[in-house]
Amino acid sequence: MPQNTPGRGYTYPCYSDLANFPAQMQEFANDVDTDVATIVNNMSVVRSSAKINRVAALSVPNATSTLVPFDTGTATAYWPGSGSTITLPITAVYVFQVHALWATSDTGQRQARVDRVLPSAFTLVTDQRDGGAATAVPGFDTPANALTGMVRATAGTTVVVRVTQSSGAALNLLAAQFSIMEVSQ
Amino acid sequence: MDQTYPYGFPYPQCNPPLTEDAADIAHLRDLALAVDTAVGELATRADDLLISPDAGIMYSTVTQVANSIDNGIAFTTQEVDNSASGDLVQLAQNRFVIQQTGIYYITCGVRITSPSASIRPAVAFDVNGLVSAPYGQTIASATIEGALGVFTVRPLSVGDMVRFRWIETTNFNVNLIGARAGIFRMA
Repeated sequence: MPQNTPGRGYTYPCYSDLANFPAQMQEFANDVDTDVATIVNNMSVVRSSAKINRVAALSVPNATSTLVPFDTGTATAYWPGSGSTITLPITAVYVFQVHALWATSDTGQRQARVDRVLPSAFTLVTDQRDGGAATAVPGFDTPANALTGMVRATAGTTVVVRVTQSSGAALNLLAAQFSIMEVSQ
Repeated sequence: MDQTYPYGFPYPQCNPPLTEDAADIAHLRDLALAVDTAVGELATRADDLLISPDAGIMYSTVTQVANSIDNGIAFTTQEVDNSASGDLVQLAQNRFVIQQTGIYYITCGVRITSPSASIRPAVAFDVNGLVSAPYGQTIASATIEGALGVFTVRPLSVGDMVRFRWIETTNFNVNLIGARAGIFRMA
């Protein structure tokens, strides 16, 4: 009976097998071909990613946690092309980043947060900054929220970005970006 | 027997018109075993570096009263440890312990209850007892939850221990209501 190598299971003949060297070489060659193709295929599907933006200003009420709907970005398995929900497509470990740019106001705090929604609600990472000078240029003298974090998620997990500000009145979120990359399965 | 280069797969030595190694079924066995070993090593490297590099996440939602200048951040729950040894996350010691030498991305975020006075919190990385310069900011008295997050990219070796420190220099009591740390091997 042919035997199989201990690691990858490649077939090779024994002395007791009927001699048919070309066929036995072919069987071995095909085993190696299939195995290497599988390894290469696995390597090619790693590190899926997405980058989603909000470019239209979003009016955020005072002291109210507000979902950020995104409006630009390529529709992918992560995001359907509109809305605030980002779906993580496979069971894996992910790293994500959020950048949120606010209009100028020298009052209160600015907060950005990534929350898991499904399978259960859970705050993952939060960033909070002071509002900054009233005459500041957004993004320069006025700090923008910037956060990064990691999550291990099962396929179908959903996350959202929420922002809160305490300027005392409604304030525009000028722009936001969310990027995510699968880093380990 | 001859060998291929660079992987050294064996094949019968043959210099026409002489065949020095007689045709022997054992030659195919030897080739199969050599290829098996080489491809196995490549598959392991691909898995370690590309498909499932070591990654670990731990977090805490338990209130910690951070009274003072410098505290180690404690974690209560392991979210994932996909290292082969399962020892990348050492929860009881509130640390990551590197299982494979490489370049690592490390992140830590903390959440703080609304401070009643301005505070200056910071988070620092502690690698083998050497504490990095703190990454921090001033957080004014606020009605909304405070937060601070940091990240770094570092070369680390097997056995290196990574912890996180919370440093608050106004000596004002604040509560950490959540902490989350993650690490993965980039290269």
